[in-house]
Amino acid sequence: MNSKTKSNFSIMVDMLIVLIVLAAMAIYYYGLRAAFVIVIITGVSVITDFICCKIRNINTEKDISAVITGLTLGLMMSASVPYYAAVIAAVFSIIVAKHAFGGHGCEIFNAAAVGFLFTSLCFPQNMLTYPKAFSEIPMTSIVSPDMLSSSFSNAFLFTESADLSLIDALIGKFNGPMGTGFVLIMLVAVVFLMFRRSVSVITFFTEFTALALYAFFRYNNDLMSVVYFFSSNMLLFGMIFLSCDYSIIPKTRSSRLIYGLIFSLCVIFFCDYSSTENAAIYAVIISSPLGIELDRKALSFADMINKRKGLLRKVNKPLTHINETLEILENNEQEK
Amino acid sequence: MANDNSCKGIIKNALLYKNPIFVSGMVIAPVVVMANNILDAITLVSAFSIITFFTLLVSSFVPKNIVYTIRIILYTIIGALVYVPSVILMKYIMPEGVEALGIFFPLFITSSFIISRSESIFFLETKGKMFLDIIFCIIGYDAAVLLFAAIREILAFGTIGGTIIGMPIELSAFQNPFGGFILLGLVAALFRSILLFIKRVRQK
Repeated sequence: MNSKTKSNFSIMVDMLIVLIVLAAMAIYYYGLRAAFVIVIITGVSVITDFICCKIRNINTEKDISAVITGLTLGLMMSASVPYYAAVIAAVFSIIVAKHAFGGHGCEIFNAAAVGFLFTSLCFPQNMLTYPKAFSEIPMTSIVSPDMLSSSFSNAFLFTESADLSLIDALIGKFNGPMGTGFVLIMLVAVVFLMFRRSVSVITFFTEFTALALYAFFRYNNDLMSVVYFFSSNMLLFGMIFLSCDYSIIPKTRSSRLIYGLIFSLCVIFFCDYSSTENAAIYAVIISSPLGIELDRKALSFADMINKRKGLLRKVNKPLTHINETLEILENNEQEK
Repeated sequence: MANDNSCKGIIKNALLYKNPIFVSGMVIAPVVVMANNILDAITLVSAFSIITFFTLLVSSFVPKNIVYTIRIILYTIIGALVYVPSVILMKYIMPEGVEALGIFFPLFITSSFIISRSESIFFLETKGKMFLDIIFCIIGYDAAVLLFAAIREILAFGTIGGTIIGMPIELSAFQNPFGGFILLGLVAALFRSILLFIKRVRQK
């Protein structure tokens, strides 16, 4: 049990390091207001989580998941988001998406994704309009609409082309959420996280390959469009921090592969058929509950093979975090 | 939960401990979709109350020696018969409300109150207690729907009964079924935790 906690904590620390780097970049691009928004969201997330844990008598030792949720949510926001919307997003994600499902480790949805989705449905005008990078954003709660415009993702989805240089696309110098467009930094971050085993290599590569192939053929074999595709719609950010979130990702290898494919198919569906902005958010919300069922099926399948051929779960060797399903199956075996 | 089979126990269970909406989660689909504001909720509970009460009233006279499957079909037929005068009455009282209810109005005929709860609870009781139980279950349902609709209207539209109350923020996500479903879950959880809290205080 101890090793499990330690492992989770280690993953959280790795995630935190990467998120802090992205937050620093966001502050560099959007100034003091970005810092204020990130601090508000993270602070409110931590306070809400602390209150919920106190009410539910849960030990919060070595649990920095609220900080990670807050930072992830903050980076998904527009730098001009009203402060009240930021507070509501943080409170909603912690109470409804995290504690309503049993708290840290029991979530079936990524809390940050749910919080973002809820506030974007409540305040679409404020949540889906963005200031320009390096512009002077006033510190008032409501930023004048004259300073704001729709995102690069929106333009790319509808026109299928972009007036943006490769460098700008890679360094995130375009209209969009505060911290989701830094493609180069995120590519370095994902390599770091993979080496640290903090994100699933299987899931990430499945998603990356499937979506890269889709974008390549979808946009007439144009490599620039593939870069635009990954820069837009929070795609790369969603792949690393939302779909590969260790608390919702399936625990067996084959499930992770299928989960990655389901996520990619959802993204393709939302981009292609409904031109939905920030498709990664919707895709992760749809695909994450399936992960639990995939695990269950995969382990039952492995169990069946185990019984028939005497193989010891070679097909679906569980990864670091053994979930309840495995325990139930093992208990069943022992009982028999 | 009040376990006693007395009139007081039946009323307490119907209104609080086995509240059809907040505790049992029965007939929530029309609530999630329709109960956006108090006016719509009044239409909803009126339609529900009329159809459910009269259908259960007439259905209670169906002989128990008829096969279960046939009995259920008979209840639905009785519900369909009750629906016709109900819709005429409702169209007379609140014509716009009936239009807004749409498919949910006829669907009350097949609600779990009539199909399952009638057989498992209501029709097992004596006639007097059964009527008391039915009436207070309907009141419990109606009160829960009105309370939920009031909360939803305040949060989603910043009004109560159409009157602006000056809410600083309107959470428009609660206007649609997705938000309504989440809000209903939250209100139900709050309701149950209040009941649990009262129970613990009493035990102490």
